[in-house]
Amino acid sequence: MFEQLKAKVNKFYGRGSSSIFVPPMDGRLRPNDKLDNSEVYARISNIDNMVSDERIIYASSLNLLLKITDGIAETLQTFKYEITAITIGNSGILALGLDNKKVVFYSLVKNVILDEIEMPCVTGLLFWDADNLLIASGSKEFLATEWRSDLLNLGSTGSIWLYNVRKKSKIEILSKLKWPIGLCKSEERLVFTESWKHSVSSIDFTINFLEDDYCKTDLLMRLPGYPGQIIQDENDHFWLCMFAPRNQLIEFVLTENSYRSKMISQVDPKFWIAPTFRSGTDFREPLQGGGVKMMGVLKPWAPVFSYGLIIKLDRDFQPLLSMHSRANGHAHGITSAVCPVGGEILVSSRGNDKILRCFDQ
Amino acid sequence: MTSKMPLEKIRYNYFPDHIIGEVLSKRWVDNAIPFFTLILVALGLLFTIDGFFSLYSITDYSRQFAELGLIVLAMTIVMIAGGIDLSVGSIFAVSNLVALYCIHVIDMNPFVAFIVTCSAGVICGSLNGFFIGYMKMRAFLTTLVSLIIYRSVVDLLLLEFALDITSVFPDSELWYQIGDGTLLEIPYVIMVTALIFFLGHLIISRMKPGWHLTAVGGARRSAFNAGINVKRTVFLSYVTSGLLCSIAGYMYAARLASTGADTGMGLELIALTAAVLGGNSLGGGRGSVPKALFGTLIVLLLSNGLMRFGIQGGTNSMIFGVILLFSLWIDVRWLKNRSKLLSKVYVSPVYVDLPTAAVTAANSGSPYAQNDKLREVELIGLGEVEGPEDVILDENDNLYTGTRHGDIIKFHGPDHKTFEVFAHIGGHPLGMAFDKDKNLISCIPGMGVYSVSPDQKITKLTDQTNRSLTSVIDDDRLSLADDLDIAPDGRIFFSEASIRYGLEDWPVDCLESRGNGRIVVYDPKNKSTKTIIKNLSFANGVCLSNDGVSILYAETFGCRISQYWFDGPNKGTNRVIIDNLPGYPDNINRSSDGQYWLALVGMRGPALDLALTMPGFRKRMARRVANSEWLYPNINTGCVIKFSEDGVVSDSLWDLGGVNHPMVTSMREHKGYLYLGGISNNRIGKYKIPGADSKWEGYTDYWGGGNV
Repeated sequence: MFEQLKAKVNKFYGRGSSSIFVPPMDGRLRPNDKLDNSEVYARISNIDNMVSDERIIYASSLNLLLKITDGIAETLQTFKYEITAITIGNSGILALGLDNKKVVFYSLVKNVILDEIEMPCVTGLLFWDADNLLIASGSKEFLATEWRSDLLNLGSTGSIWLYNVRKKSKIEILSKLKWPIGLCKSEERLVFTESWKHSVSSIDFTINFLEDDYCKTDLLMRLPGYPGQIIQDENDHFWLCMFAPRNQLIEFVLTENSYRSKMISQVDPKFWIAPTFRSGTDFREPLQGGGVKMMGVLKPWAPVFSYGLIIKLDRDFQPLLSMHSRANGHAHGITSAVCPVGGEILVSSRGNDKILRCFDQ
Repeated sequence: MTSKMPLEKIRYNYFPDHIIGEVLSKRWVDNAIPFFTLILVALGLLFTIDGFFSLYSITDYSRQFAELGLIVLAMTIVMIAGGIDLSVGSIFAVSNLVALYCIHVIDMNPFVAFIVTCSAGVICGSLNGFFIGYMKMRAFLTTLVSLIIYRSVVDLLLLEFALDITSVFPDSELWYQIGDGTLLEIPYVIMVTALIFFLGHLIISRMKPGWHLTAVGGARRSAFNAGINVKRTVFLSYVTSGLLCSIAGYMYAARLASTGADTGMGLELIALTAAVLGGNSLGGGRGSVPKALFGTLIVLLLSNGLMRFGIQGGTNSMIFGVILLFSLWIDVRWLKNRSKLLSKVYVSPVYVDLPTAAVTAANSGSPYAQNDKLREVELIGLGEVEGPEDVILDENDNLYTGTRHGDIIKFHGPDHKTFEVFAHIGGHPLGMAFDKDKNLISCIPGMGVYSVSPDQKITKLTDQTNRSLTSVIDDDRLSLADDLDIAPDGRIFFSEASIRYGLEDWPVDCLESRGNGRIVVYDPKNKSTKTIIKNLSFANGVCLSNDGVSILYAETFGCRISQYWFDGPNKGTNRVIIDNLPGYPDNINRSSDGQYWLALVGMRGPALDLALTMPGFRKRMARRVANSEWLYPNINTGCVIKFSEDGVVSDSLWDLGGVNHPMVTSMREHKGYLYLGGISNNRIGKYKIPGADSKWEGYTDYWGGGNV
């Protein structure tokens, strides 16, 4: 009871457990310019959701499904809605999440849509095996493309589903998640990321979901950004993409209910105080004190709403190295990554409309 | 976009929150805590004890104060220099004994006895000072040792002379007067102590010895590096301490003629308590005579009050011990947290509902439509000037501008490839204008309005205006003089952007939007300065209108242009010309076609416009979020517009993307070109105005051809 009183007082003064806190980027996460200095593999506007099959990359550009070979993109299929997640299964089947609350199965061999199921807000997809598809649903209230609205409404209605392709049945494995988005298999555990919780967690996948406890463990907490996709490379290391940075002003606005609701209802979403893939293009976007240019120069450590960050994790999910694009860089909005060939990683920079080739050293 | 919140408006616009921050930044706020404690104690005793403040009691207290005050002052002086003097009680006892011996046994003249007593105190203090100041021994241990030694000297001398002293009754009238005499019911001793306190305060707060004392106590190494003789200062502080204690001892001798062995025992602890209670810092560097005064009064009243209550001996000391502990705790907390508290509570936002911004979208047909006209400007002085806020040209096409290094730079016309330092003023010159005699008049934030003659002689015109009675901030200072213009009769009208913020943090005035700016006029004929318009939201650009009897001025964070008549039939009228600017207006200057150029130093954004209607949000942001992460007005992009006196905007010039000329604070038309300056830029832009009069320049437009 004393704790509750103390928490209330702290909330009123905005101190202690309610203080605005953004973890600093230090140690293995010390900022650098590696993403801005990386080679450009391809230039495609709104490139996102990359998956690879040997050396061929499948990705999305808004509502276009693309096949990219050696840096050249061809459109496989045009959909009516934006593609929000892609995963590749065995025998040439792609599962795609569409913004009209559907998951679509697409055959690469025959180039036709095989099947579709209903699922709101598909943010992540993963074939666990030939029969089972894992679906991350970011929110029950908003579409996948409305992720900023979900953040500003303090969303925590995300869930992860298991869909059996043969039996055409789905069960909800986890619920009340804060925008689950990245899904990855690691031995017999499912690793997933929750963006608004800034965490990477895992659950035990060998048990019967309807009855047993999942042994949910938090692998990484208090990340300095919003984690997105997570993939595994051939050395059993992981690559975690952060699609946006944490920012003290955003964290503050999340505590201010009145301002938030007015901003959502009165201000154009382009000009919200919210993380974004690309910033600094319009002068009507909000500016922070440290972002004022002096002598024409924007300092690299200026507070920004977009950032480029990808982190390499070892088998125990501890950071090994990181590649950044800072405030004065352009390669922001790292939404997905693939490792087609050893020693090399391709990342999609949605804020810069490019696929970048980075070398893993 | 409006947000009807009348309650917030009442709460934040009419409640004077800003006074808290302004009071906290005053120098005398340190004394506020002990002062209020003193009032509390005095009131408490007044209402609980009858006759506590009767005339007899007050006379008695004042005699006690006369002695205790000097001891506390002695301790304070030593503490300010960073030391401590535990031997004050012993020196007091020694002086008491010496005075009694001189008067009772030797039958000296009281004046001579005074000199001898003071010498004894000075010798004792000098010993302390020598070991601590010159031999660099520890103050605590050294004065502890001298406490013991002087005390034993007293004991030895008492053994010898106590009987001789007590067996004589001196019949000196003067001696009696010193001990018991009054003038109009005020004891002489208190007048002496009051005089010493007054002189002490003058010396410590306003004269060099006092500043040296504080410097040595505050930062010993820096004081040494600045050339202060640290050893001598410390030595003299102990000598002064000894001297003051001896004067107190002399008064005590006159009053009580006591030969008790416990004279002055425990006095050092009482003096320490009083000094710390008053707010003097034990670490040194922070202390003053008023603090010593408040501390002494509190201790005096409390000890007398406790005695009246019948509390005695051990309990008395324990209570003082607890009080000392408590005041030490507050002292430390206050020291650490005052500047933190000040930075949190200073920003006091108000409710502001700006009119909807004019449309700026490219190809929208609006006169503000974005374009790339400034993309191809020529650049002057790229990388050579930093912070050219305003530019002006003379009739020989030489270009003058101010830099953040404190210079006015002159680029030689007509090609402006070479430059020289025209005047080194020391502050960052902002707005500039030529007067009739071709003196360059400039506004320098933090300094005032200065004039540079054609032969490069610098004169200060004014740095002070009239003080308003209701302002806690000392608003006769000009802290951010911004732009100026000169009327035909030579009067200089200039703007002061904000009285609460300076050049380092001027955008924070936007977060407040309180209306801290004003327009001031300086009349060179009688050298008078007067504030004529107040409560402007960051008063910035000032331009004499073409009719010669009014000025146009810009309110940067009010996003409007207004016109004020200072002469003529409309004298005193003030009207708003444009109130829906899509950005933040800066400098205004005349154009060749009877209109005016205006620079927008930044552009409005909806997130900040919404926040301006929510002062509680901004206040909490200022407290909880780090300074560099606050929501700021977007001063990374700007543009230039042209408007007429009727408020019709006819043209706008942009460099979208900020590639060539990122931000603009000022523009000056001269012979068909527009010269652009920006306060955070490192370049001056030169833009060819299509179809402009290639002979028009500012000096002739203002003052006619040649010297009138």
